[in-house]
Amino acid sequence: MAEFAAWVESTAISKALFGMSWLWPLCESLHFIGLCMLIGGAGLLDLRLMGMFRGLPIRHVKALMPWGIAGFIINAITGALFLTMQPHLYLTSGVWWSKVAFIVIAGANALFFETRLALPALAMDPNADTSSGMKLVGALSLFSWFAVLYCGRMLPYLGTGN
Amino acid sequence: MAFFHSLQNSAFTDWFLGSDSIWTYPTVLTLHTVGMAILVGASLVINLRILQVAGAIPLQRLQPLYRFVWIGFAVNLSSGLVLFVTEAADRVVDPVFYVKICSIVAALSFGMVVKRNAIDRSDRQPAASARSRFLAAASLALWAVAIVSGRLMAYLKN
Amino acid sequence: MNISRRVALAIIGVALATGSLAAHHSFAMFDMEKNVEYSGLITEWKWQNPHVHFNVLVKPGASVAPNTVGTWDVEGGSINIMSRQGWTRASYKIGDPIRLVGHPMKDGSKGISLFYAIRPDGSRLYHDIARPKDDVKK
Repeated sequence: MAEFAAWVESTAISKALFGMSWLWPLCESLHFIGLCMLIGGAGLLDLRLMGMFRGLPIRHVKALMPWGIAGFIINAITGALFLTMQPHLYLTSGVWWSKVAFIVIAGANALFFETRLALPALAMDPNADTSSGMKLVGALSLFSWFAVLYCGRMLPYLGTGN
Repeated sequence: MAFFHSLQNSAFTDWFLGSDSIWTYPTVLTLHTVGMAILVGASLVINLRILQVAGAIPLQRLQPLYRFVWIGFAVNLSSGLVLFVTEAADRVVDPVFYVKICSIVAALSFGMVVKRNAIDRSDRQPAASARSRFLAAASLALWAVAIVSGRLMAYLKN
Repeated sequence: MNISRRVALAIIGVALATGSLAAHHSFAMFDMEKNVEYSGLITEWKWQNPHVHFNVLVKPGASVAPNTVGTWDVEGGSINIMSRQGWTRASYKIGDPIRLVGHPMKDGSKGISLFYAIRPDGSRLYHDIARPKDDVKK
């Protein structure tokens, strides 16, 4: 990994991006904005699946999802830029790989919801209690996204980097 | 000013910033990010709904979200105060810090006007007024300014 | 002079007087490909999160590269990161001599991103996990 990171850092694209000194702080700011969009857009659905906001039809809440997905895309792009500019800060860090693992868990969880639970959830009586499967999916989603946040923010202290 | 210097140079600051435990500065900094995600995330949902995103959600059903707005705000006010104490003298002369604080105060105030005019009265008046929509859009923009200035404070500190 | 102008002037004055050198710099502001050695005395030592900072005064001398002369603000990593590389709050103190290798600011201002310090016995205290090509793993 260290060799790969050194190779990436030696490429022209990495040097060119890193050479723009405003790009790093800009990406950091956008990464925070994307985080808020992701937590806001996905969070209400997660809470609803957990049984809160009873009376609110799940299909109405799902209309916020494009904003959560947009936040994720912003963060994937800015994250890829950090990775291209300074791969050695991330690729050899266990904390960063934990962050990636939590993103995979959150993604697989969302996919499971879409393929297995979305239809019954959308068809539910808005006042009825959600199933325990839905509660678990909602809680796991919230937990994983906050775990992603934790690993990312703690990276300069727990793992490595700046 | 001497007061802010005494905060920044206090034994507390020395311990808080100089400890190699992750439970001091790193954890409070992370809590500040968690609080931001909750506060801005919940405000984003409310303001988007005022702007007709997910327009089928009845406005009144969003009332419980204010609990999250206030939880997020409480987390960030307390973590923010601790972080401020440790760099008090630098921050009171930092224009970017004032931009951040003013944006937060304005974003929250606009959000409260929207709550009073659009959410609390939604049983009588189900659609948000043009004024509420303007305030919701302004509130969203102000949150973005608060986030960006918060991040830039680390770089422009001098 | 009215009150508000007096307050404004006071704030500006205090800002100039207190302007610490401890601003955090984006890595991209340093020339990370340039490794420059500096030898001087520690004049300020801030063992603090989020970034350790210290000032090094390099005096002119026969064996000193002229472009390294001056007082430099050296930026390290978080104390958690640096502790893992062997640094402690007591690694250096004000008045201590220090030899270090760092990456200077691209714009020529007196800032350095710390790469490693060289201790009197020749061993190195690294800022982080990055290693130069000449570092032979034992």
